[in-house]
Amino acid sequence: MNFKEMYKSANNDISANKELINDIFEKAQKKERHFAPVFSYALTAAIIALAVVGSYSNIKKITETSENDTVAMIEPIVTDAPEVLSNDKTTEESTKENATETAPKKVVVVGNAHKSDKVTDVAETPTDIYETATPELAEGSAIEAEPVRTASVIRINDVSQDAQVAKASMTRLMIIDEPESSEEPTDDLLNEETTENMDKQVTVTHTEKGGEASTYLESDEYEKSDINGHDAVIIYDGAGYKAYIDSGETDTTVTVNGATEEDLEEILNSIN
Amino acid sequence: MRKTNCADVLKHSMVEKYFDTVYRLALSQTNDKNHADDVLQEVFLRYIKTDKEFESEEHIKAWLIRVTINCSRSLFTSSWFKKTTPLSDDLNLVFETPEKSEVYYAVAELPKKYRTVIHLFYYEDYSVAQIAKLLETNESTVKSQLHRGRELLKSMLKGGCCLEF
Repeated sequence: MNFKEMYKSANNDISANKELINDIFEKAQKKERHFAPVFSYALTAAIIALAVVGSYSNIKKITETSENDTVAMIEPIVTDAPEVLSNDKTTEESTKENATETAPKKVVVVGNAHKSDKVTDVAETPTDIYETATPELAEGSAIEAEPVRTASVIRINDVSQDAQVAKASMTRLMIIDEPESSEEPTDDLLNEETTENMDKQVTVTHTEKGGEASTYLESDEYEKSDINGHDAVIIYDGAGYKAYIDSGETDTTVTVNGATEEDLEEILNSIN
Repeated sequence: MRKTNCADVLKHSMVEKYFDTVYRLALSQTNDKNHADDVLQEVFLRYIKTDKEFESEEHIKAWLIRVTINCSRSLFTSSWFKKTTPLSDDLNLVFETPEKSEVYYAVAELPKKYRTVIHLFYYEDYSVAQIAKLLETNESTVKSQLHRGRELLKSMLKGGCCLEF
C-alpha cells in the first residue's frame, strides 16, 4: 500500500456527524423566516440611531459654540500660571487663614474664568481667588467680591479639553485680584471733556501720573497698544471701551460708550 | 415554486454527498473536531443560501472546497478565535490500523500550507493545475509545496512504514 492509498483509507475512517445536516437546514430556514422582521427591526433601530446621533451632534455643536464664545470674548493671554503668581502679596495677606472671613474687596475683572476651570493649590505664596455669580462679567468692570478661598500656588487641572484655553482662563481668574479699595489710587483730575465723535459719546480725561491709568499702563499684565506714538492700554469695561494713554507728563483716559474696538482706535487717531 | 423545490432537493443531495468531503478537509485544515464542525456548518449554510448557478457537480465540489479553505482561514483570523483557548489539541481520531493513524497524524503535523496541497493532491485526486486554480496560486508554488510536504513526511515516517509517494 502506498502513501496515497494509506492516506485515503485513513481519511475514509473519519466521518462527520450526520445530525448536523438537519441542524444546518433548520438554521438556513430560520434565517430566511426571520429575515423580514429582523430587517424591519434593524431598519427602525437604524433610523432611531440616526435621529439620536443627529440631535446629539446638534446639541454638541451648540454647546461647543457657546463655550467657545465665552472664552473667545476675553482674548486669552497665554501666560503660565506660576508667572502670574508672582503678584506681590503682603505678609499680612499671606497669613490669611480663611479667605472667606476677609472683607469684600473691590476687584476689577480682567477676564472670565471658564466654567470648567478648576484650581488646586500647593504651598507657597497665597493668592486670593474670587469667583462671581456672574462669570461672564466684562473685562474692566469693577465689582465687589469676596475671595472664596486663598490658594497658594495655583495650578490648573486640565479639565477642559483645550488645555491652552483653560490655562488662559485660569490666568484671568488669578489676576482678578486687585488692591483693596482703601489702597485704590485716587486720580488727580486735571480736566475732563465730553464730546461726540462718530455718534459716540467720547470722554477724554487728563490725570496726573500715578492714578488709575498709570496702574494699567505700568502693569505687565496688559498688552500695550501704540496710539499716535504713545503707549496705551485698551480695556472693555462692560459699557464700552476705555483707553489709558501715556501722554508723557500726564495720563489720558478716553472712554467711548457703545463702540467697538475698531471704532475706538479710529476715534483715538482722530483725537490725536 | 416547482423550481425552488427541485433546487432544494438538489442542494440537499449535494449536502449529503459532500458532507464528509468538506468535513475531512475542514479537519485537515483546523486539526480540531469542533472547529471542523463550525466550518462544516458555515460552508453548507453558505451553499444553501447562495444563488450562484453551478455548471456541474464538479463545479459544486470545487466551490465547496474553495469555501471550506476560506472559512478555515477566516476562523483562525477572527477576533473570536484569537480570544479563545482550545480545550485540547488532541484530535482523538480512531483508525482501523496503526499505520493509517501514523500516516494521518504525520500529515496533521505538517505546516498548514503543505497539509492543504497534500490533502487535495492525495485524497481529492486534484492535479497540480487544479490545486493552483483552487488556491489561486501558481502551479510552481503548488509543486514546491508538494515536494517539501513529501520530504517532511518521508522524514517523519522513516521509523515506521516505508511508503512510496
